[in-house]
Amino acid sequence: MDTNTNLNDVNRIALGTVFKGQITSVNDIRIDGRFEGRLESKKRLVVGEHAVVNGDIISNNVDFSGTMSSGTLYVEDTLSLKSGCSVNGDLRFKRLQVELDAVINGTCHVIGDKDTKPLSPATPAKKQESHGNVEE
Amino acid sequence: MWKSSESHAVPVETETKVVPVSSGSIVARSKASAVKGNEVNRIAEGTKFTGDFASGSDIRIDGDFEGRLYCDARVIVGGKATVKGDIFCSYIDFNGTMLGGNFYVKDTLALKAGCLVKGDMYFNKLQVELDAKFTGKCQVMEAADFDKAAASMTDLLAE
Repeated sequence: MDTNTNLNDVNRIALGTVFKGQITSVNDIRIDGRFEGRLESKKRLVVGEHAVVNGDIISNNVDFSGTMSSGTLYVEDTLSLKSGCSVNGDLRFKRLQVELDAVINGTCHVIGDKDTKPLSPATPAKKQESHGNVEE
Repeated sequence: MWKSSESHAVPVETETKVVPVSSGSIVARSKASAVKGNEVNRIAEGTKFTGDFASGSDIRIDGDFEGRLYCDARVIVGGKATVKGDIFCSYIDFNGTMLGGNFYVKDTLALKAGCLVKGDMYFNKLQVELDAKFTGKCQVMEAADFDKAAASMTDLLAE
């Protein structure tokens, strides 16, 4: 995260917080609590190691250290899965970085130019290229 | 020369200070809880939250919030923020716009200059600055009534 970003410009869901619903933001988001629903950020999303996420996430860049129980991660640029994270679900990204000890159970797809953003959870994005399952 | 630098290296005995928290004063509370940045929830400007939000830590809202919010701590609503729905909290400093809904405040509800509120207010203590605008019912509420009103939200947090 940029060091020059104002602290008040970053959305935060702190540890011990439960949020169910929709978030749409033009700013960065950091999640340390529990999130359920749909999240859309034009910038970076950071999911902390204690965070639990369930639902559809659309963001430009994602740093993921937490747990995703189910849902879709749609990352327009780089998806970075950190050591110790656990992801169950559908991953769509342009670029992927996986650290040792990251757990992935699900499908990985590279987003092509023709692919469209899943505007609603019911709209499936087109498959371009499958990289198969990546485990540990 | 290095004797003086050595004296700097001597660890200063750290006192474990117990800061008294007077439940009535917001100022005393905010000084006592030296909260780290990551422990405060924030909804930044340009962000829209829709849904149910339950937390034990403070929250600052500068964006748009629609839904139900429960916070067993302090809520600060910035001047550009808009809020719609029921808010359950212990303390609230309100600078923004409330488009409809209710406040249930366990302790102090502070309406700041320039704020606009359309909705009913239930609180233990009320503070209104000059130029705060509000339309709605005001009613003093006991802690037991608060717990009853917020029961559905505390269930969400306990899940």
